Amino acid sequence: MPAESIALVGHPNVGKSVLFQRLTGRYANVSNYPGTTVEITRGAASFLPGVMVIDTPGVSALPAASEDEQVTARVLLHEPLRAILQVGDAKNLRRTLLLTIQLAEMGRPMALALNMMDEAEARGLRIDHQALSARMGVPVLPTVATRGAGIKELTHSLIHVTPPHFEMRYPEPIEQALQELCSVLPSSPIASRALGLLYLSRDPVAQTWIEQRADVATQSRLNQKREELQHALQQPIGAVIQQARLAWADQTVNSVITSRAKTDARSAIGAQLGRLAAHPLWGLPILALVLYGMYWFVGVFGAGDLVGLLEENLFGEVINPWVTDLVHRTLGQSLISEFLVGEYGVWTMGMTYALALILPIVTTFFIAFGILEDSGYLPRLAALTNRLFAVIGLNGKAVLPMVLGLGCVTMATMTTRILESKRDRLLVTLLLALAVPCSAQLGVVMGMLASVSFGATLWWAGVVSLVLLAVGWLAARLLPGERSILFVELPPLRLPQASNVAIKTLARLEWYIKEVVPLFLIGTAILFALDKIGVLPWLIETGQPVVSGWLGLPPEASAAFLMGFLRRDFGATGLFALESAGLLSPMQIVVGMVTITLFVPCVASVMMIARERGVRTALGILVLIFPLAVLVGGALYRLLSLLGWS
Amino acid sequence: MNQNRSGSRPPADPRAQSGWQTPAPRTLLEVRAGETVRIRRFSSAPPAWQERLLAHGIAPGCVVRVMQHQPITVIQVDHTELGFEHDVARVIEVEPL
Ligand SMILES: Nc1nc2c(ncn2[C@@H]2O[C@H](COP(=O)(O)OP(=O)(O)OP(=O)(O)O)[C@@H](O)[C@H]2O)c(=O)[nH]1
Repeated sequence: MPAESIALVGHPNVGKSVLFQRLTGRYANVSNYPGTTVEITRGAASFLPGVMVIDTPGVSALPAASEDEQVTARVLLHEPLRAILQVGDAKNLRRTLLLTIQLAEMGRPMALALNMMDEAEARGLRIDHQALSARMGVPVLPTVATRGAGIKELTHSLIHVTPPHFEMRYPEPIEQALQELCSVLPSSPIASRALGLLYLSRDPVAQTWIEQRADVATQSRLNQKREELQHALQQPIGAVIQQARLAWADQTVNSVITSRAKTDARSAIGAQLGRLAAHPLWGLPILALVLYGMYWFVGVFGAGDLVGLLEENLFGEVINPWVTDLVHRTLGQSLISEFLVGEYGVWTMGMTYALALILPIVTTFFIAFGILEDSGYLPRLAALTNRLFAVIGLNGKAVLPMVLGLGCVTMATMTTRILESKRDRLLVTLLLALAVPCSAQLGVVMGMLASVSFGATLWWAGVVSLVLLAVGWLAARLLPGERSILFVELPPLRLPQASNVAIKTLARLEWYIKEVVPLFLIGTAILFALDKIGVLPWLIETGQPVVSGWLGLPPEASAAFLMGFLRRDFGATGLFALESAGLLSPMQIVVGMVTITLFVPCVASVMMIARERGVRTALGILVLIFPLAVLVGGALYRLLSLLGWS
Repeated sequence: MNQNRSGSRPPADPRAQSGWQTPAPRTLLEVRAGETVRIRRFSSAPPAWQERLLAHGIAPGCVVRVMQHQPITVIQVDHTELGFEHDVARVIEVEPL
């Protein structure tokens, strides 16, 4: 096991990431938590040699609801922690204390950073943090992470941190059950009382932890105890436990807050804007503005200007000719040099694509997304779109991966982890793969449709949206499980912090280079091999009857579809070449674009689906998508012919 | 889909009095935007919802302010705003301050 760590734990959006940056050096390592796809950031503590700081995903409470929250629970249960540092929002003391109680019960050394002190003060709140510290038995340090205020005192207290002195009693039936539980629970890194409480409230992580360590007899005894207790209580056990904690938190808040808000916080501009952004009417123009801004920054600037500069000028005219020349001079016209710089060359196709085309697009996208994330706009977007997503059996939270999908479907597939149920994650993964074009593809598709007519663009958008809704509607009814309801916190709108956005963007880019670029290279290598052993030409030929007979496209389009698998936009680019050669009619363009949009996600996203949802699911999705795309394309061809298109 | 917003519904509450007085709201969904009420109980809600509400510090006895009902219900507790669907608001019983 690595060095001891200090875990930052807290509600979503309380400033953990900013505080993390203050506590660690420059270099942070973002990686997936073992066995999950949830990102965890680790960095060396700048104030304590040999100690790591872990930034965990925000939790609203334990028991953990989403995959993200479960990772936090696992860090608490499994990691060799030196200390827990709870980061709390000073202006929401009640809610913060609810978690403090839970963490303090675990018995590990801990401290509480009361962050966002500036916002609390602006609302007229005065908190007696010494009294609070005495009552909770943990050091309490007021901080303003964004300004670096209170950090010195915080690090000092973290160096000397000791286990908390905290004890609160629950209603008698729970105390009794706890006593019995504690005598049979396997010993754990957290106090058995805390583990018992987690078990009683049916926390999935604690449940698994116990299952792995207790024998069957103990397990059934534990379970029996819990059922007996549930029977004796009127309400769910978890609710009774939380109510007891809330009562304690309420008392505490009343005794430590010395002055209450007089000014109504709603008068602030941020609050007003926040209200408008989630307004059923005003929210829409704001949304349109946000989308337009993103389109301009990612679509026009990123996918247009930057890609042009990098792909055509830098790679096309300088780097690639140089690399090709170098390879040919050193290796001659061999198979290896073809593997490197040939038609399906790992460098000329794979690497160039990943670095010159996708990288600038995802970079601009990650910046835009980071700004939205940091500003607190995203939960409002979820509120605004909730109704729409209800139609396809999802809730507004699904808007985040879907919007992210317009940037990079691979990345978006990974982000489905923020969704609460397995069912939701599967549904969104399917829809992303089927009907959400990524920015690279979108660019080419829009360009080609625009060359036909605005009506053509409408047909394309209409058909793709219709398929998205129809498939979503159907899948939501066929998949087992219920739709999960939307429950979001709407944080105040804030001016995004440049450093926070930069750090998040850099971490995501690092992820992209480490995780996605290799997938492109592997994909290219596979394509190269298929081409060499003759499968590729064979596939193109086999596809021709479908392409020309059913879809009504010229036979050459078959190759474009195949290429679309490696690079979503390549498929579209392939068709673009045909159009330029005057081989495509307007109708064929619309049919081709619809089919290629629905057809396949790129190879990287298929691999990501396999990693996230399993190989079987990935294959299942492909088997569903291929025929569906062709079916829709053919049907559209016939419909448009009937309507007199040619 | 639910159509009734702000207490425009006929008074179903037995405590509601006739005359000029507005009927006492019964569920959170019937509370007009801008009003402040006290939570009475939500024990008929599914356990998962109850826990979500409690995790956000919403419990019987606590005072919340309704901010809006469209497109979802948004309430303010302390200095946090929390949004949820009408189905949740419908099972939260409230009483006037
Ligand atoms: N006014 C104020 N804003 C802060 C403070 N600390 C952080 N913020 C802002 O609060 C927002 C959320 O901060 P993050 O550090 O991303 O929060 P987090 O807890 O890591 O959020 P998740 O990763 O989503 O759980 C950002 O816009 C920060 O700039 C503070 O002390 N005062």
